[in-house]
Amino acid sequence: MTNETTANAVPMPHFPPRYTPFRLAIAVVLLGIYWWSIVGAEFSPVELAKGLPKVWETLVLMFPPSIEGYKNLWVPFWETLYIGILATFLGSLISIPVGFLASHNMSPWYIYHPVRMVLNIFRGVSEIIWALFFVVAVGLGPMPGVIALTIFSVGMLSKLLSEAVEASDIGMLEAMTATGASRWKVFFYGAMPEVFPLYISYTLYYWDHNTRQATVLGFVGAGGLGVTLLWNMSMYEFEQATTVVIIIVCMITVIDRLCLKLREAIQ
Amino acid sequence: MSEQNAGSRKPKIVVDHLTKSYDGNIIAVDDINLSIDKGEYCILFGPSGVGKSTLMRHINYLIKPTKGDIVIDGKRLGDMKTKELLKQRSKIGMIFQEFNLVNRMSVIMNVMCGRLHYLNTWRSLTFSFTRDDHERAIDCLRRAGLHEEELYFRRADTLSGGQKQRVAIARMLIQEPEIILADEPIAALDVKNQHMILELIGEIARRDNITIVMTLHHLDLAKKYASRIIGLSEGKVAFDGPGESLDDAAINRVFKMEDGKVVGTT
Amino acid sequence: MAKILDVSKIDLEGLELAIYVRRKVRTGYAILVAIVLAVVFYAAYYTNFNLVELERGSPHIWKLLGRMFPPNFEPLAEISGPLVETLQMALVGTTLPIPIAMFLAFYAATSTRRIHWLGNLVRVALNTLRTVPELLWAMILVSAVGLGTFPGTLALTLHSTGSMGKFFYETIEAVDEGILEAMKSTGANRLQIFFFGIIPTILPNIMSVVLLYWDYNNRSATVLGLVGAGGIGFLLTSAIAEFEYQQAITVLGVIVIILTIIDRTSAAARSRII
Ligand SMILES: Nc1ncnc2c1ncn2[C@@H]1O[C@H](COP(=O)(O)OP(=O)(O)OP(=O)(O)O)[C@@H](O)[C@H]1O
Ligand SMILES: [Mg+2]
Repeated sequence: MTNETTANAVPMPHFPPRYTPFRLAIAVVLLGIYWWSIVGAEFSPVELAKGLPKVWETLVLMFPPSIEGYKNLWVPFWETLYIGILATFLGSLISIPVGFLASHNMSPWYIYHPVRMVLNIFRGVSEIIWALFFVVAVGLGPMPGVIALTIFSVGMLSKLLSEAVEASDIGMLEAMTATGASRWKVFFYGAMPEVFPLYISYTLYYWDHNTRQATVLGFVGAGGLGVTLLWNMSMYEFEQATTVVIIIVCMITVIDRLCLKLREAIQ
Repeated sequence: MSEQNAGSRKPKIVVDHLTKSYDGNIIAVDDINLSIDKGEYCILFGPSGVGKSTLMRHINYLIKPTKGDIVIDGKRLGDMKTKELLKQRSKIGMIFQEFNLVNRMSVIMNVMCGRLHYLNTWRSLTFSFTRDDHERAIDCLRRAGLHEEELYFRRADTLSGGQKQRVAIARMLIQEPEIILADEPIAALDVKNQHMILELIGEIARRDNITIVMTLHHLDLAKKYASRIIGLSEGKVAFDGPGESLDDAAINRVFKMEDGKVVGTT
Repeated sequence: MAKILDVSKIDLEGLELAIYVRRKVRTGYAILVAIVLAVVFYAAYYTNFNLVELERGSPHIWKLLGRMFPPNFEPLAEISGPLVETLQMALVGTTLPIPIAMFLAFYAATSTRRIHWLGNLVRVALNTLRTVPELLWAMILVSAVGLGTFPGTLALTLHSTGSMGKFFYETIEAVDEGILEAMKSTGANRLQIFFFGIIPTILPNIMSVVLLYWDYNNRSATVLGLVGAGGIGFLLTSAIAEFEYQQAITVLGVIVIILTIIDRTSAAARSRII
């Protein structure tokens, strides 16, 4: 074979060195930060070795799941489902005009800057905190849960929608503007048809998310299965808690599948 | 030339010391002065990137000039309130170089978008155009040479380039414009349709005394249809005269070419 | 957005056809909207969600807001510890799942798995990890191992492993068959294909999703303290529960600022990657 000779004949290009002192320094600093985080998060192998057996013990306590008192689960089950649906519906509806206001190619800067600031706050505060706040304000029940998730969804969906609108083709917007359509008509006819599939798929994603979060809003008294779960756990009724967890897993799985089908349908 | 009769008749469009620079240094349009009368069939030509599309966009005020202004019917676009400007735009039909159809909307809806200015809020929000709009849209599509009716209900992005172009023309026609701005309206069409469209535009222009500003790379076609030809070079007007007066020397001047090389170029 | 009908089969012409199509499309949308509205109204009825109630509650909301001001900056002194803890939990809870999820995705994806039932089992496991919210994991883990950041970090890790794992195997399945075939034809084994064919292809997607989950976990980590799983959440929820709203708003303010900064950073990083 002539392979060897040809390989020798070709002069090797000069590769830049892989490990420069600078890169090594950065790697060391990053590793330092990471180690420090692991220590801070108490996630060392020692902790893991100590913790995991205990987790196992609890898991054993959780099985087999008990269906005792399953009748009491119907109401919180539907409540959780409906909280998710309501919050997603309201959130997706509100986020259309808000997304319009938050897009820099649709609104003047003195509108979109403040709107984005508010959206940052909507998103920066976790759903649970919003729920806690509204439980204090309007009382226990599913209502504060719906409000909390709606606010959070508006924050997320409006941001995503405005990003999609900003990325949409300038030409189509221009064509609509050229016919003498006002700004929001340009938005509806020039941008919305293009971003619609994306908007729907974001909305479906947040339906999944909202339902998932609705299962824990009950921890702060905002309705749904979380209330039951909190009760079970504090009473050490682990076997009944398992039933609730299984219901949650099934519910979210079904919604996830449904979203997948819907997303395929609109493509 | 138009400057001579500018005093006697009121011009339809006046381009007044128009300058546009992007990012402060790229000068796309450089201090252009033009006065276009009602009913003129005016064709712009010039090398690629010389600022033809930019000039057209200014006439519809889709972009704001850096300096200067556009005056239509004696009114400065820069001084107009939003409402007035929208009204003005609805009277100017525009065909874009890149068609700019809304891809995910049906053809007929795309055409009806030309009537958006007249659509009330409730109908706009529910995407329901009136019966009258439908009627006009079908009429305009037929006039633009699109006769296959099952095409009307297809999504715009499933059409061929030439079909898209005719939809864009129909969207312009439905506006019943006083001014037509057409940016390369026949670039994607076959020879037969090229003539058909230029005839059509010329005919409605004659019938309703509509002013036309069009860019065209086909100089032989330009000579045939235009009442006035304007050549742009480096953001400035390098030639301005009736169609017959466009000779090789003028073309050389616009394209900055040597003699002889241009022979046979159209 | 009109739905595409097969108009060639309809025996109508011109305007009649257009009006017919419009009516068809509108009827379709009207039915869809009616169904959605029916579900939503029933949901509102079931959960007692109505605007009258909201109206009645709104004075309380304003009163509550009023009581948050002026902010009390006292918590700033003790905030740094829990805050750093929160960020640390999120960092570990985001990075640790990456290799685990990748490993599991290798067994779950239809294009790389070999044992069918094992793949399905991994999928079920990932799905379970994903569908249980991190706060719920945290609660279960706290009752198992006691208070602290360890259960919090573990909770984030479990949920992120599920979410990332699902995303990873879906992305792997979407990788072009041709790339894999080209690798296979060079005689590469399964692991080599995975490391030299698949991972480089999906690396941008991986990075983008990891950044997304970093963002998500930072936010989640701020509330884990609610169930005693460490971080700033304990400070926050106890401030609200003890009606110390002026302190709560300070903590919230810090959280929002930090999260916004992280969000910006990761968005910038994401736009550079993609
Ligand atoms: N949005 C923009 N930002 C920066 N520069 C631009 C922008 N739009 C146009 N230009 C520049 O302005 C100049 C004129 O562009 P214009 O589109 O008007 O050319 P044109 O004469 O229509 O060319 P063509 O015949 O190829 O369509 C070009 O140099 C172009 O690069
Ligand atoms: Mg152009």
